[in-house]
Amino acid sequence: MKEVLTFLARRSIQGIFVVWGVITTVFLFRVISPTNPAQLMAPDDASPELVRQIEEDLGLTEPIFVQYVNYVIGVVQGDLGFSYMTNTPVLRRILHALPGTLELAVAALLFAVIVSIPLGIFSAMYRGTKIDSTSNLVSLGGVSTPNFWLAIMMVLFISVQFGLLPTSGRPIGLGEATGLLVFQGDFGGLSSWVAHMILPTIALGTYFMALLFRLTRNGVLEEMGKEYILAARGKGLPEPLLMYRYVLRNSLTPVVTVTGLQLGGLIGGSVVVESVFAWPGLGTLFIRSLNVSDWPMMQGILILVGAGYVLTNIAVDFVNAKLNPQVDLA
Amino acid sequence: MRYVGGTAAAGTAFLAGCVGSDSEGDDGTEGENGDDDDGGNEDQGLLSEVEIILSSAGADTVDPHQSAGIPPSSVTTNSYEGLLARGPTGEIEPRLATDWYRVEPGQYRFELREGVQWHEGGELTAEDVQYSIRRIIDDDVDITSDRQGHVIGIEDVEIVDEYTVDLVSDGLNTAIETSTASYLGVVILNKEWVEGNDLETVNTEMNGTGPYKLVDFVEEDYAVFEPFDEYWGDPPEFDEVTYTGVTESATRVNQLLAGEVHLIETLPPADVGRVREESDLSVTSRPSSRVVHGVMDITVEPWDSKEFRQAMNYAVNNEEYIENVMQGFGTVSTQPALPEMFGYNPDLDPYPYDPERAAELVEESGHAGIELEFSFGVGRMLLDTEFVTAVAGYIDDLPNVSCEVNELDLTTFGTLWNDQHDPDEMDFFAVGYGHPSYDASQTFQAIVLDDRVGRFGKVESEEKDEIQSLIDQAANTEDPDDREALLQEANTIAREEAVWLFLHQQESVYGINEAFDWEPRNDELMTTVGSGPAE
Repeated sequence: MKEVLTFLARRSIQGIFVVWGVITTVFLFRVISPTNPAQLMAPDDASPELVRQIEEDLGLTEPIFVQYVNYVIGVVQGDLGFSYMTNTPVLRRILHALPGTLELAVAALLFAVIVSIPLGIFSAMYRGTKIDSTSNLVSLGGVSTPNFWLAIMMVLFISVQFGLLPTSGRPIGLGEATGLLVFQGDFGGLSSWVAHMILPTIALGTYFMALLFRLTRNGVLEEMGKEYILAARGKGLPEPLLMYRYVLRNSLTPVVTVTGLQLGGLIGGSVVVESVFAWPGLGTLFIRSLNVSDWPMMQGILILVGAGYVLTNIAVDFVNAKLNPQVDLA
Repeated sequence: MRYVGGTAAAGTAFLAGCVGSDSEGDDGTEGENGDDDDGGNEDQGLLSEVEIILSSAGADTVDPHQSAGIPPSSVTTNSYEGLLARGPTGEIEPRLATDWYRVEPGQYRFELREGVQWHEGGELTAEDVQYSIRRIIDDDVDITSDRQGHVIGIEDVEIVDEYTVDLVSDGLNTAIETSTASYLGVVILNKEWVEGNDLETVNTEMNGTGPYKLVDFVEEDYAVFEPFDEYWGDPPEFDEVTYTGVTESATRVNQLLAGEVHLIETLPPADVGRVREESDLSVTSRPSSRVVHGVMDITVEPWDSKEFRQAMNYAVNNEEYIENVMQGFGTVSTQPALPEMFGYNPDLDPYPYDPERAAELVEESGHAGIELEFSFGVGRMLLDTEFVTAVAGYIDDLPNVSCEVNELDLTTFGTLWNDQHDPDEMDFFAVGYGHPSYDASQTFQAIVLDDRVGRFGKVESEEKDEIQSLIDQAANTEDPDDREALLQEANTIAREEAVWLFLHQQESVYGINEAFDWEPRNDELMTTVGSGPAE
């Protein structure tokens, strides 16, 4: 237990430095960026005086070091500043966009894991058969299909042609939907949530599914060729026990690592899938902020993404250590 | 459409949520709409909830004084009103003012409508009007407003009595009607409410006088409105109005095709056929107030040469590219003013397509053999990459000029265009300028005479002074016919001087569900005011 606590403490401190690095880097980008946010905020026909007025209002006329210190102090106090574009707190916008992105990220990963791992094992067990070659072909397709194309095709056929699922949007969040069900007995919210989740989840999850499938299949194959498995089989260990207790467990390390890293990446939101499905998530928010040089918003999102990576990495190392005693928490 | 649950809000049918259904009421949740107090529409099968998709990110704020953009105005005009307004083709209509006239030069009187209710209670008074206009024109009142450039010449507002105000200006100020009727001009807010709330509340909530009141809003995402029962005018016809911003055009088209939404902005011409094929959908378009033109930086060679500027105008075959590249969604531009504007000169013809004349003029200008770059920022104008490429192609076809396209992202373009303008980086570029004022003098002030970024007015010249004096005279001429003649003369000079590379007037193209009776507007506003369900 003590070992775990030391591990968490050390990694958290490292994480704080990583996030601080992110803050500083992004801030430096802002400093060297040639665009003037005040100019972009001002109407097209704004006078130079109005632009200067806006610069002053934004605090852009202060020395850079003062701006930096003010910003870092703000972040430490949980204040990410105000969006240049909307004059509303960055945190409020991020908190509004975060659930959509998280729901989609988790759903896509669950979809990927639930489909890929059994399929990977199955494929490895029946190596060289038609099952194996079919799943390989499917996974090759999954890895090489651009997700925006898959998304557009699914919408065209499933939503527009057959009207089976909504084309886009996120009219209700999971929390709200559950609330409706629990407090008002209204199933509509939840079914709406599910209906709107299906296509984006598949579009976002297919690539990971294919990737994890290949990792699982290769891992299992490699493990199955090892001598201890031969020995265990020779000893008469039942096949399912052998498979799940030994082979799978020992081949999962790369799968967990990749899953964790992908989740870290997904926390920033998928710009492409979010825009095809008009999904109000962090990816959309980020790209919009980028287009208008809304630096406070970009900084806020990047800090969150940085923190997300740090957290998932800690979790991955932790899970890997639990799965494989050879991996040390140190 | 936002899902708010069957009983949470009156009249919210289960539309967006229902799987594969495009007509409300067939999924069993209709029964829960019992508290729908005027649900008669649905009983007759008429559209009761309308969802409108904007092509931009949507409204960034619902404080009209803090934005002078068209998309936010499409949203806010459902709740906030001005003293006057424009109809779909630009005719002036009364709103919060019932009568308006000039008392004497420099004093323009508005008699306010009596008994107008605010959404959160209370009646509209002259104080609200005074405060709202001051909030726009005076930096010391609350904010520095983005609308200052749209409210021209108004110096102060005097209260005559509870329902009468005088707008004071220095000189005649013929632009008062324009400023008070434009949705980017004077919009009336509740003084007490604005002063009593912090800026964040004013940015995200609304307390207006319009037919719909805001019930849910997330900036740059969506806005949901419900009818305001005590509206002074015709009762609002929809139980719910939703605006959502969807930047991806394929997504907008799919939403419309799947029957999820009723009106989408900027239907790409390539998808026009798909939408027309559907029996319940149609395509509607209207010339917009956006004039697309090439800016030529007059401070540097070769653009300081009138012959060279004219040569560019002769070189481009506007009709051909509009027909083939823009699929007909555009009108050849002949002068700075648009046909819908006051001061448009109908006698002017576009520069004819005459590459030989163009080549001669290039020779005359002494710039033969020059290499040009035609720049633009991607994503602001309809089919921009396509038409810019075509235009650069025509110029490149001249025997003595070569021209390449320089495609920039909007941020870089905006920066180069504005404060960090450097003619070496960009001296010839396409922009679309939209202004819903319907008055040519506004166009001249903003994009011909303006002294920024190599505009025509940047360099002193006889012609510049001539145009400037015509515009100034127009501003002080009360007789409309005389005023119009002055502005028309200014247009004639501007055409002869080739102040721009004249390109086209952009069309706004919309995809619409025929259940929604909505008329496109010249000023690109997508308000539901004045629209209803189709009979």
